[in-house]
Amino acid sequence: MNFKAIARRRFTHGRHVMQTLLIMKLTAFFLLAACLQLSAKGYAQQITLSEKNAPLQKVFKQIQKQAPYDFLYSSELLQQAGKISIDVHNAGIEEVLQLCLKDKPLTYVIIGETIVIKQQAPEPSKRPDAETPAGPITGVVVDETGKPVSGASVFLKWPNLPTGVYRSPEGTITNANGEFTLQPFSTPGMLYVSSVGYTTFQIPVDGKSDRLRIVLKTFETNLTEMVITGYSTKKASEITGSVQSVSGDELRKGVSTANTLAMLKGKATGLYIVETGGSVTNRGQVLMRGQASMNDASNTNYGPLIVMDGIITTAVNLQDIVNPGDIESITILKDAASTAIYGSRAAQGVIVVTTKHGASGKLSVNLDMNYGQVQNNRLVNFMNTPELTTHIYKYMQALYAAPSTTGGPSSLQTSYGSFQNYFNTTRIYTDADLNTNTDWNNRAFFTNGNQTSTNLSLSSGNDKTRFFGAVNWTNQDGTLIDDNLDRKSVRVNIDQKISNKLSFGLNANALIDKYTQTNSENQYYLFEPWVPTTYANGQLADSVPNYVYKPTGARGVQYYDDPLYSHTYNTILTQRQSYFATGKLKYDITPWLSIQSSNNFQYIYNNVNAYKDPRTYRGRWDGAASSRFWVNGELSITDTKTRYFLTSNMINFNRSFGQHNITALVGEEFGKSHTETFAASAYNNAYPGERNLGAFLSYGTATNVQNGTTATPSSLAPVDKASFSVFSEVNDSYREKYFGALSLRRDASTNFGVNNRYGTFYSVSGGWMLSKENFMQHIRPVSNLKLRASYGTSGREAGADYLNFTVYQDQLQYNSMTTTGSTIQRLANDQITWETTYTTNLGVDMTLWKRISLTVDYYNRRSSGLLQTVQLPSYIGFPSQVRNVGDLTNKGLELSLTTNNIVSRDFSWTTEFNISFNRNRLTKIYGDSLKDGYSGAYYRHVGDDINALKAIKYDGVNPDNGRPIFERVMSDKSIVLVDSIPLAKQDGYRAYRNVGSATPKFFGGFTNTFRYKGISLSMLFNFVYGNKIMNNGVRNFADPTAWQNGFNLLQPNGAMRFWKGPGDKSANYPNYYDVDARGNSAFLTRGATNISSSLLYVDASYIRLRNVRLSYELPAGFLQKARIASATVYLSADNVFVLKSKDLYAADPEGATVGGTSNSFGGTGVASAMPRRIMAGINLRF
Amino acid sequence: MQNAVLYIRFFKSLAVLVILAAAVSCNKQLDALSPNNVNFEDQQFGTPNGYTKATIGNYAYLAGPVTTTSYEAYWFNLSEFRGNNIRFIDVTSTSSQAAQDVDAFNFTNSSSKDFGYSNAFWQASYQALLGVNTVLSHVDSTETDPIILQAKAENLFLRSVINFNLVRLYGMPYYQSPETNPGIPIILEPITTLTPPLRATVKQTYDQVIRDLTDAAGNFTQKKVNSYASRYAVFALLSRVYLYMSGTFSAPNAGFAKLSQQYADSVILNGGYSLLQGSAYANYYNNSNQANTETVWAMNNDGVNSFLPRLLMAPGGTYIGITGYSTGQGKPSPDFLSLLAPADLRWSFYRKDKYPNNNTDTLSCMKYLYKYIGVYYSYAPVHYLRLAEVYLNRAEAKVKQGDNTGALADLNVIHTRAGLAALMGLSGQALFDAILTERRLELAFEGHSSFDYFRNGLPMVRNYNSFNSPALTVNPTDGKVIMRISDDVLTENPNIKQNPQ
Repeated sequence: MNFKAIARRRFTHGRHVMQTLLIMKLTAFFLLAACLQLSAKGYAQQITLSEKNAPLQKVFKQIQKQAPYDFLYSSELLQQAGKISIDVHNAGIEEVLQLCLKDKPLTYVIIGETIVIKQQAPEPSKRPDAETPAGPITGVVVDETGKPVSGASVFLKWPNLPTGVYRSPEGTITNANGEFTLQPFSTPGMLYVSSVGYTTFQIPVDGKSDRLRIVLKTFETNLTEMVITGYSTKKASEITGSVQSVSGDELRKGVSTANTLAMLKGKATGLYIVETGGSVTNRGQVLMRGQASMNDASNTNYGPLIVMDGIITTAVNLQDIVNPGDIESITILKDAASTAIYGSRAAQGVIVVTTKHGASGKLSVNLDMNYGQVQNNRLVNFMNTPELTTHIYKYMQALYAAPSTTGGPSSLQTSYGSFQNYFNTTRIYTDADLNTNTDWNNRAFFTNGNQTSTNLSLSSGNDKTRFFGAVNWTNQDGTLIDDNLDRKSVRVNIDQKISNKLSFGLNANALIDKYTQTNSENQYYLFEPWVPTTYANGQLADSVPNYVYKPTGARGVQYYDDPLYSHTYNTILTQRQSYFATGKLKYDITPWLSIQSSNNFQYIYNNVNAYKDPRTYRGRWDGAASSRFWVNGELSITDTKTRYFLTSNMINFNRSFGQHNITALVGEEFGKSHTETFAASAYNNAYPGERNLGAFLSYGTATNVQNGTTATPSSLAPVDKASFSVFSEVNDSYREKYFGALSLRRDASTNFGVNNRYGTFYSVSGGWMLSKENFMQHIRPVSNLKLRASYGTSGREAGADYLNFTVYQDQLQYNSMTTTGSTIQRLANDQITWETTYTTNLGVDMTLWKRISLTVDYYNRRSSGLLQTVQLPSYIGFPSQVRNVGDLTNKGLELSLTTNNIVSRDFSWTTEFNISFNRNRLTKIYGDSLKDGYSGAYYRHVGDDINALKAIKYDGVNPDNGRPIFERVMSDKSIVLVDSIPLAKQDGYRAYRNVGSATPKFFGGFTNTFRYKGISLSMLFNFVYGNKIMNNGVRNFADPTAWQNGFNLLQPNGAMRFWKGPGDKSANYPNYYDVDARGNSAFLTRGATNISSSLLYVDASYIRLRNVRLSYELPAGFLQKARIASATVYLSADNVFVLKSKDLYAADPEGATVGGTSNSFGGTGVASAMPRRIMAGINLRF
Repeated sequence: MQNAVLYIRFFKSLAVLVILAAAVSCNKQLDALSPNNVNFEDQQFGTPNGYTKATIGNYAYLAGPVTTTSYEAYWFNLSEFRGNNIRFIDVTSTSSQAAQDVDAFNFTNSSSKDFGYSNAFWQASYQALLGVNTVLSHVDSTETDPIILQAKAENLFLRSVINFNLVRLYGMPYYQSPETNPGIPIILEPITTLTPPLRATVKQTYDQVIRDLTDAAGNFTQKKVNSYASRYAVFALLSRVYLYMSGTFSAPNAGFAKLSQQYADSVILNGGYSLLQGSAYANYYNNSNQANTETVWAMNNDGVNSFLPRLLMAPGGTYIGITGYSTGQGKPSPDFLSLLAPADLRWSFYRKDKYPNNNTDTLSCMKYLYKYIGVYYSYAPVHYLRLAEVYLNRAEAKVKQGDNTGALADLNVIHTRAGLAALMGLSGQALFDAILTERRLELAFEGHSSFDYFRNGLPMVRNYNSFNSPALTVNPTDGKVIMRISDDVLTENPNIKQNPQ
């Protein structure tokens, strides 16, 4: 066992070895116990008694028959006490004992499995200083400003009982007015009051204490907060790994969106989050501490595993699994110490989502409503009529003037005689056209929208039952045409205490999403600004002309859908329903040992209905613009259903041994998923507007119509997966100063078939609360200082299944359409196994002057055995295979800083700052190089960043002739300047040089919150530095000849400065009007927009004002009359502005995602940008 | 505490057992699952029908699925474009595909996968071989099931086709020291280890082709339509293989010529094939191969469309507003067309097209336009073995043995079928030349062009310019007559020696 060896290496001191061995034995014990739940039932037994006027001695003997306790008493005492009557059903031992000894001068203590009955201490009333019999303790909890703190935990504990004597703490939660009541008691104890965001308060109390006023101080450190780390919940001070927790309230104070991932941007360290444009369908991409896998077609998810309410989900995106309004907190697990327990799925980190639960106390109803506008925020646009026609005129002049290949007059000059004649004959716009100027882009394709959200939740509870229920309706537009998310969600979380020992929990959640996307014309560059949106009679046109250039005569015309007309008919509707239900049963065998079983079922139904209506032009006609054919309406339906079942069973242990407090768990999990797809296409709609298969007369797609082929079923094969895991975790807290943790998980999965089905993952970590050491006590500024260190492994499954089998597929036809042969679809690789990431993490948590909190983490993640599709030697006979061949490392530093700059009763100013650095290096690749998946033009080598960008260096424009200057690398590595990409490229790959990386050097966020009485203002900036983006808009749409094919061109701004004439030194783009002898654009043939040119790779660093929020909390006095507990109104604006490189021509600097085989790093290009959302809202609590 | 320690010790040893037990029970759960809509290899070969389907898959792979590893399209480019039947016009594109398209034509024989098709063809050949060898590896030497034996015979035939096509392109002509000239790596079973094979000699490669064909001939249990291999397809190919071994006209190997003649005899006399005549012949390429009585074996494309016609002719397109546009970039060469007599029925295989700015080479080959569906795809079969070729094989074999009368008779069967008057009084060199000319006319655009010169020790002469390429003569001893092996193959396998050029 690796486990043992490492534990030994780590703890060399003799006593620690013993301690470690003990821990290991406990682990073994837990592993066993997981499988022997039956034997544990003995402890779980409840006591049922019915005795009338029976002597105590007899009653105790009855108890002994039902529960494994020994009794210790003097018979005299029992006789003095007399007889009792008792009638209990399934009661716990403590309850029974209390009933037995009720009104008797006796008391008991439980020591291990022995119950000691002894004489009660003299009653307070008999004491001379006795005043009143003990009544219930009441109190009120307020914050430093005197405002009541509701929902605070109040616990009465008994720290001074004799060794081995245990009495379970009594607890309650403050109500909306901050008030609490505790049952009467007599033994002096300690009262603990804690609440999120405040320092825990403790005060000794006795039976006489009453009407306490407890003032909680706002937290200086978050050390007392409880952090849910997935399978367990720990005090922040006990955490030994790298974990960040963000509360739901904190998230909801940021951007307004249905996408929780977007809310984390700028707040979570280590998470590089990219949103690709303004569509509601873009769920965003997240990389945790750098990319840890290779680009591969079967690998599309680079993001963390998502765990919700303790259940491993199959979700890839947070948007698809949880409604932001329901979130209590999100915990991000980053290093091996915190993720190893998730084993084979955790190499890319884990995001743990915890939803809100009910609190005992008064019923609380929360209503949150907001409304606002979503605005298109593009930084670039296409040309308007004067700009485009001017460009065309200038380009036609250049075309006409260009000499022929032989140096003589061009064929245009010989054909037309004069430029005016040529221009008038062939131009693609008329004089009348100049009067029309349609901004198709912003009017039709990138539109503004609205957003509204209503969230109603109810929370209630008593000491037995706690309930939380919420309904939500969100309607959010993106900034594309017909881009909408309509979300309805319901959540019910119930926690029920069945007895003192048994509790039941139910988490149920339904998300009903409906996404609308356009199925109309979406080629936004095909619309010429002089084309009106209406017919001559003023009616909205159903199709609009597009004019193309023909050098031989008058302009040609082809037609496209008018998106303004057709978009209401032609849409793609995606109905997504996600049902998630977990039942949990927890049984406390003893106060220190419990078992828990969680059983989860998820069902995801996804229905895509893509419809084109025969009442629209493109609904009637499909095919290329030059050869449309009749289809009369089209429909394609894709149904995907996923069922997922997970059972997770655990034993938890929590016990003190002297100064050691050991918590441990052991569990096993079995999960199984089934996904199946149904797809069908039809055309020729008999009932326009009906978007179901029955309304159509023919099966098949437009391709079937075009080629006259028969439609064939196109549904994907169902996918079944299953996994089985055993896991264990042991934590030791010694004197609350030294912390150690071990975790171990063994996973089996269908991913790799039989041979390499198992993977074992582990971690070792430790923490040292330095600030509790004596020598630190006189260093006053440091109120908290903790060091953390961890090492361990986590894994990642392959994207595809059964990779170690040769598989045949019936796929190719031969001799007739109906004779199908079997061909090898995949060649077995019997060596393949899990990718493994080895992470070392070192961290410091520090609080200075009780004002400044700082957390710094350094990590080194080595990912090894990365899966890569490699080309096999030809003699094997199969082109490629997935193999474990790559290694890479991510090293980085994360820093998060919170300062309470000003704290006073009326005014406060808090600053939160976080920054994450990451450096990625390939350390091993198959065949020593990795071909770029998108351009295929260059290779990455060992030592490069996995997202290294390589290009032929562009040195700007030759000011004398307007030609581009590229660097050609000669064999002796000397550089020769040439004026075209083909010249620079003639030596193959040599000219490709590193021009940067698609992932940033660092990124982070910066939040300032000001509060003056009830008014608070917060501003969140997020920033990214050092990444490059491919100028996709320029690459695709800056072709000066594009107008010939009926395309519009980009409107140049300061970022795109074409060479104007000899001596122009400010230009960054070559001569736009250079036409070569063949009539081609030299701008293009010399490679200005060639994917190999570094001209296209531009710095995409930015800083964005992500969110501004102004809120006002109405004064309490005013509200009490209206029976409202609290009311807050707010204004919020997202994506207010962005600062970026002056050379970047793009709708938005953000949006370059990584991975996949179409790794283009192109970002949003000239399409939609991060939308600006301006929202107004109100939050009411009753 | 003492007790606790004992318990823990006991539990610890039990825990190991429990983990093992859990593993076994979960293995069962996991084993119960399998991927959907695919078969594991063992399942595939669990029934005779699985053999048949895998064999059909092998044919389908050789025929033309439109993928990046389309065997037949690469084979066609490398085999046909190296002759003098074709002239390239107007290669304006600067894409890497355009460079690849004319690489073999220009005898550049690039070893880079980016500039030629040598790599793609090599990869596709060995991928086809894996399919074939996997079927054969599941056939026991004592197998008696007629369906499995039929599959064995067909796969042996396919292996011969693949190896023969490879050795024609990578091994110097047989008449030049076949015992020492390198041929190709011969792979007879699926390779599971990374053991790089060596190149066999040309002779060893031919011997293997003949061994497989001979073995195949004895295992056929049924005769299917001509899309599938048959005993007579085997004989027709043997007739061709021996002809390739029969030396030059001046230094013939009469023994191999005789074998070629004998296998041709067998096909002509007993195969049940007949030459198409008149308008049926003129429409030879406008139909599927299946009902064609002349085709001995064709790579059929009725099931999957083929990419092959891409460079030959693309009718019915639109070009900057001109509809009904059609063209090919590879045109019948002026030299070739000058050999076709005006009355030749074979003019019907060439059609006038419509292409702006091109007024010189207006004919395109339309042998591959059956069920043309646009964007270069058609369902046209590749008539790999035809009875006409077998007659011409026999004519050549006979003339190499000195049987002028028999040779002329066979030549005239094909010559008169084309609507021309019978040739008279030819013998010796003149007759041999006439047979080769007839072969060129009859089998044009069917992948024979350059091989018929080089195997007979003759130069390939192009007396015409092509776009960007001048007139060209390639001598049969020039290293250029065979392709360079791709750089990728040399990198992955140090045992492979490059063909010097």
